[in-house]
Amino acid sequence: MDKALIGTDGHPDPELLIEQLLDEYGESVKKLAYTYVKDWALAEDVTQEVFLSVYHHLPRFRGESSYKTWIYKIAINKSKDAIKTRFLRPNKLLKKLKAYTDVYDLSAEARAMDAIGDVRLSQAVMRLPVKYREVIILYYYEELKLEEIQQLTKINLSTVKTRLRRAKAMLRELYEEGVTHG
Amino acid sequence: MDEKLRHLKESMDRTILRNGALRAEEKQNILFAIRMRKDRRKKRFRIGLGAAAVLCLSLAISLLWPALHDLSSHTKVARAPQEKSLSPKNKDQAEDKTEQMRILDASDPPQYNSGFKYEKNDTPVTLFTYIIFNHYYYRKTGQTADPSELGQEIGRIKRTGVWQELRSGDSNNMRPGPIYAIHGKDPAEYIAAKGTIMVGRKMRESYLIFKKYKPINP
Repeated sequence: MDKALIGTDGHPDPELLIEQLLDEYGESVKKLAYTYVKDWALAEDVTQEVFLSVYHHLPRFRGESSYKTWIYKIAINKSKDAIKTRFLRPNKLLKKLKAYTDVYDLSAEARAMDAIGDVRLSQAVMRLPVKYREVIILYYYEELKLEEIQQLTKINLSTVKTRLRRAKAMLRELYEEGVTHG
Repeated sequence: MDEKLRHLKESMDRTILRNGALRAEEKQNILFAIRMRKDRRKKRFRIGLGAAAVLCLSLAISLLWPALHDLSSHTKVARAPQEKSLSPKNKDQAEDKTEQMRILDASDPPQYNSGFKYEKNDTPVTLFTYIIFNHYYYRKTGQTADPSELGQEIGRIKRTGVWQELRSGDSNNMRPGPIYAIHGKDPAEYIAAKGTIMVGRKMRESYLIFKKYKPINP
């Protein structure tokens, strides 16, 4: 742990620590949340909730896992909660429209890159059902090991493997479909 | 596909996640939210502490209120005879009554719980000294009789204590001994037995008068 984070009583200063964790993992958490909720405004809210929760539970963090694993675990849970309750949000229609506009702008702007398939691949990933998208993101985007994914998602290791296999098959279909329609 | 997925991070960061950077403004918002929540929690704690203190105080008052009320009414009762005795007119009468009360108190030792049933409006039998005679409770009157006033022996107190089934010759406080009739009084109504009374600060043996009260099996 960074010495600068240690307070006068020998324990980490929560204020300093949360700032450092925010610098280090804030962006990853926001992006991870987005891959679940597909809405930047909602991803921002989730990120805030994640760090509030981290700050609140910091005194009880026993260092059994790394900060990254712990924060990602909270982020995944908060994102899943947000998916469950997103339809109860009063401004969901506005945000849906915004999300649609974002995608549209992205498509317009990224036509040049379409040739290398980045957009198509990303969109295909985002079209996967959440349980398959989750393993693809954690395995290929976050580059986590299968055991780490198992720990984060509390899913059986064999189930993680099965989901990853199925996710790749589905992704292939979606990607091909995109190429055909493109 | 595997090759493409190996570069998924770059692909997504260039396209769909390119807006994912956490802006300084967002960071400030998060830190501000954390500080606000911390302050709110402190405030909530203080409010909770205050509410708990008020609750404890009101609980203590409600629990102690009957005791305080009793204490104040007892003080009033205790003051009343003192105030009365100051009046010269009632002084002698008050002294007599005090003496009589002292005799009654001394001859009524602490009672036991007998388990007897009693009518709601009656004085509970455990609260007075009695002799069972001819299937009736005879209740202590607080008066005494001279030996010269005693008539013939009409029965005996055979056992002292409390029992579930009562019979003639039982008493809750009077020790075993003869029961006498009293001259000039109906033996069916008044009886006497030897007991002790307190005169001043001394215990003295005397014949206590008992009056017929109620049947043991109503």
